[in-house]
Amino acid sequence: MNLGAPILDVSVTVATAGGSASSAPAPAVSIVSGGTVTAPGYTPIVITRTVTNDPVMAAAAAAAATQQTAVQTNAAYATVASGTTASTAYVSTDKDGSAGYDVVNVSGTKFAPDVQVIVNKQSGGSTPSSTATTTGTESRQ
Amino acid sequence: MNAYICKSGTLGTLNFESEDADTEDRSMQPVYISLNGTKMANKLNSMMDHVWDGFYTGQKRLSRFPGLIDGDQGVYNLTFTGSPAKKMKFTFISQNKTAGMTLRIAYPSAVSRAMIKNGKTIEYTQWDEKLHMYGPITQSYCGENRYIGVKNIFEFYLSEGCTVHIIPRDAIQSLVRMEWTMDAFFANGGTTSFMDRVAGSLGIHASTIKIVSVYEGSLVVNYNIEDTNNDPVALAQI
Repeated sequence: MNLGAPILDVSVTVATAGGSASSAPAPAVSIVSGGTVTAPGYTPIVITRTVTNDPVMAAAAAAAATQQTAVQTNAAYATVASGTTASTAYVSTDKDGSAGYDVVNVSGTKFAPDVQVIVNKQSGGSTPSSTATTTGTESRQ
Repeated sequence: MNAYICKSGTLGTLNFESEDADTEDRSMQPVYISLNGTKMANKLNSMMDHVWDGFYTGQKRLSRFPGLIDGDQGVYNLTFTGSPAKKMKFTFISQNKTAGMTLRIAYPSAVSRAMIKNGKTIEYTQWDEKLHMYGPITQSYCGENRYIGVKNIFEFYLSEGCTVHIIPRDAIQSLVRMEWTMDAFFANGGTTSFMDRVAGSLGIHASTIKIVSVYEGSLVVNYNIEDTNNDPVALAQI
């Protein structure tokens, strides 16, 4: 069958005028899927080469995907010039807007708590000792 | 008594009903008539049953809906809260002989349907290659109809004093996906060439092929193969 372009998928279903409107329609039967003709009891025939039925095209597609990933990764690193030296810094694309990621700011100063967490052993353990903390810290037991 | 005097000269009654065998047993009510683009919505329920089963009333309701409607050439949506009947009959009656309106029915599935007036099938409007769908309803004659693929909307024009029927058809529904673009498809003859190619390949007449929809992805064409006389035997031979 020549339809003017390579055929990728063909499915067919039979609709009958009878029956109730609430009855489920007949399921579609796939004849061609991904460029391959299939029928029960027969060997599949490839009529259109696609990445699903042609190893060469599949390998080429995989290589192209790998290359695309590499390009995206390289684009994520920006070269930062400082004086006479240049370094690369990772620029995250997992955010919206121009604000960079940082710790929480409180009234203009960075909120940097000194937190020490002590896990209390439930049985057979020693009593946890008190924890020396600096300003703005807390201890948890 | 409070009353509102409506001075519209195109008011009329739109009567439609299910002609399926289960018209009294299966409910598709309520049905909403809404003027396209407005919030107007007229809610209709089925006819009250008058059947008595011994001491009790029967659980039957005739799926017939008379609705007041303004036939000022507007576009109305009929929204069924149950599955719309396969066979339906529509009549519009008004004192204004030039009144009429376009009706749109959104179906849950793409079953092949035909519009019947005076016992004859009225074909869809001409396919519009620019719109990539059947051409719009021009309201030029009663029964003018088209099918909007993908959205599954059946659209037709109903004028005063006209009765039309929507009937289901036996059909072979097919979907073809090709490695093509929409622009290339329509630049190479579009649906006309496609139907000729399918007809030539299958050895059937091109008139038995009805395009349902064309959309991207790469290029998908939905089409039906139907017998012109709606003969199931002839369709089986195809």
